[in-house]
Amino acid sequence: MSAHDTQHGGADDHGSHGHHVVSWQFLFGILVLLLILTGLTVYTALEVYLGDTGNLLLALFIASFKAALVVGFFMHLHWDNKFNAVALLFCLLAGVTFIGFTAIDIGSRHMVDPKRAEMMTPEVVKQARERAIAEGRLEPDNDDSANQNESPPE
Amino acid sequence: MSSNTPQSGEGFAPAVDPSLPPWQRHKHQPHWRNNDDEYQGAKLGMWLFLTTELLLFSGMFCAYTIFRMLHSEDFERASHKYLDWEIGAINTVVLLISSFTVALAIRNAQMNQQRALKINLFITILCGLFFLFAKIFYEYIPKIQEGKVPGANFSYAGAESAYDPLFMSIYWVSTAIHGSHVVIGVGLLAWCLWVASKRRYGPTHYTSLENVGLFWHLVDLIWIFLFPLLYLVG
Repeated sequence: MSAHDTQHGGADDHGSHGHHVVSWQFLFGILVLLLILTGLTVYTALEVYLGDTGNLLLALFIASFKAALVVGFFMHLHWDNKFNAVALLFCLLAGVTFIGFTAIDIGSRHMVDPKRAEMMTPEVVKQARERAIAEGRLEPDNDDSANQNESPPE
Repeated sequence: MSSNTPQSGEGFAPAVDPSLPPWQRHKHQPHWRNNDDEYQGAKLGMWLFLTTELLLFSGMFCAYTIFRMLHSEDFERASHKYLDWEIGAINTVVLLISSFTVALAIRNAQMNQQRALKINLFITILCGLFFLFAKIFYEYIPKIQEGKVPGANFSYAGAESAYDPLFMSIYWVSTAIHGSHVVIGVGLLAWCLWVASKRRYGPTHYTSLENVGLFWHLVDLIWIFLFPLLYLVG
């Protein structure tokens, strides 16, 4: 493409530039697949219980697969100049770093200092405090001793 | 098919043959060597713009991540309490179909199917308008009337937790910025339909159609993530 000679206005002038024409049957197949995956997302979210995180990860996995179908085939990236794909991948890398490191930070504060875990959900706070008390890093207060004295089945 | 496309090497345009169809009369800007370099350059520019769009939305997904980790139970309850997954699912299907029709429209331009090109663009616009209609009349207006609005203006009496307004803030900001992209996308598609009606898209020239199509797919792409995260798994 870079050494394209403008003097050649020949019949194949525009046929050799990666203007990939996709058949409508193929595009329709992608649409059907996307609709099936949408149905799968709804079904698994409403009917299959894998725990909070499990359902979230499954939904994200299906959504990523759908996004790959849209980007690869509807947006022609599969047949496109690979430089466009590189630009997108670097952006995704930046996004994953941005969100991933934030999640690591939020999810690990209680490991550094249980007192800072007060931003966290009650279960995480309770577990963190119990661990800290067991290791002698924290003095139990009234709430902790109340929790410890209760027998689990009520 | 394209053998008569006028090409100039040095930015010197030969007279364009007026008997050619309008899409063959497209003349690249003088700083490009040829039409194809112009097309590839414009598309790279569009992809770079799309990466900045993804980073804009990743800020909202980051806020979602933080508050969902901090208040996961409240978020899940609020998701089922405030949002109707059926409207979200219908809008997902509509956007996926519109992505398909805009991909078909680009194929029509490549094949010089002028009539089908206009029909597919028109269906895409209708899908975009349907999305906005469902969003505004079945989601936004009822929510505003019940006080389910973001942040400090939240006044819904049935709130069960102090974090309900927070969930609604994330819902409103992310869906409304996505919705504004739908509005812009519909406007761009309408412009493309006008250009197509002048027969200015064809096998050798459809740069702006391709780039508007990429933008429209991005709108679909964002919704593919927003729908399950907000409406389904909370």
